Amino acid sequence: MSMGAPNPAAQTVLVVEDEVLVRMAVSQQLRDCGYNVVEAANADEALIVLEHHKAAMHIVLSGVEMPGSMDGFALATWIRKNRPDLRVILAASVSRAVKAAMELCSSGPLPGKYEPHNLLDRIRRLKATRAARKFFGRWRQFTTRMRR
Amino acid sequence: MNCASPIGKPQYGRLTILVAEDDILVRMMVTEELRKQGFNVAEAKNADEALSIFHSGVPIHLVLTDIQMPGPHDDVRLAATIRAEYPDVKLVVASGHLPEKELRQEVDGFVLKPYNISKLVSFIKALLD
Repeated sequence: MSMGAPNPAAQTVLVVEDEVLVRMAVSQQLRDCGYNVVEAANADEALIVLEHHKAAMHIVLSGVEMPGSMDGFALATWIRKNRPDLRVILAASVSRAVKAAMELCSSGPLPGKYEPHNLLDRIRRLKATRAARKFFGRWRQFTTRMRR
Repeated sequence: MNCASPIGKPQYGRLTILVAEDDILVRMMVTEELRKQGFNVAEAKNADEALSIFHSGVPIHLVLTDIQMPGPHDDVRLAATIRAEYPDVKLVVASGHLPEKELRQEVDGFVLKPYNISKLVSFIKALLD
């Protein structure tokens, strides 16, 4: 797993996504492409970052449907009013978030041959492994209880 | 998954730290500093997200977790789960108050919040060296 050190010369992307594995994989990909990335788990966290974090922010890549006091549309509206200098990309699905990350990569500081399906596959693998381990964890708890 | 960071410093580039912290500004500060030091860093805002990352198969070498995080899977149970299921993972707990003796005996390190970030990084490096 590659999650590179911050690069002072690079643009900073704020990734706003409530599904942790999607947020982690997309952020990791953007770091691999040379961006600095700040991760926010929802729009409320994104607002805290934008209001309190003094470091430069350039791009916001956000999901649409999220838990919390506002969704991606409301966040985009807030940004257009209060931080019109930021570029906002809304992604309504995982595949759209992956596509947006790949488009950023193609014009990023470390452009490489990144394939969207590779990132999508990585996210699917992470989710599938999580589901399997959760299932076996519950099964282990169940059998342990039954033996008592 | 590629394990070497193209940007991170090579000495820590293969070690991944999971930071579980509900305060986004604290999480940002800690993760940014750890990345500057060359570590790979995964981020979780609560115990459930931290377990999701563990269960996804991402290799984690050290967990730095707050023990007053909200969420259905409370943070003390997170520490216990990590200890039980991933005994080789180093576990460092951060808290605004001294945790119970039983928990302190279970973890590899305890830091009182608010912590000095450079001292925290030195402590983490010493645990992983």
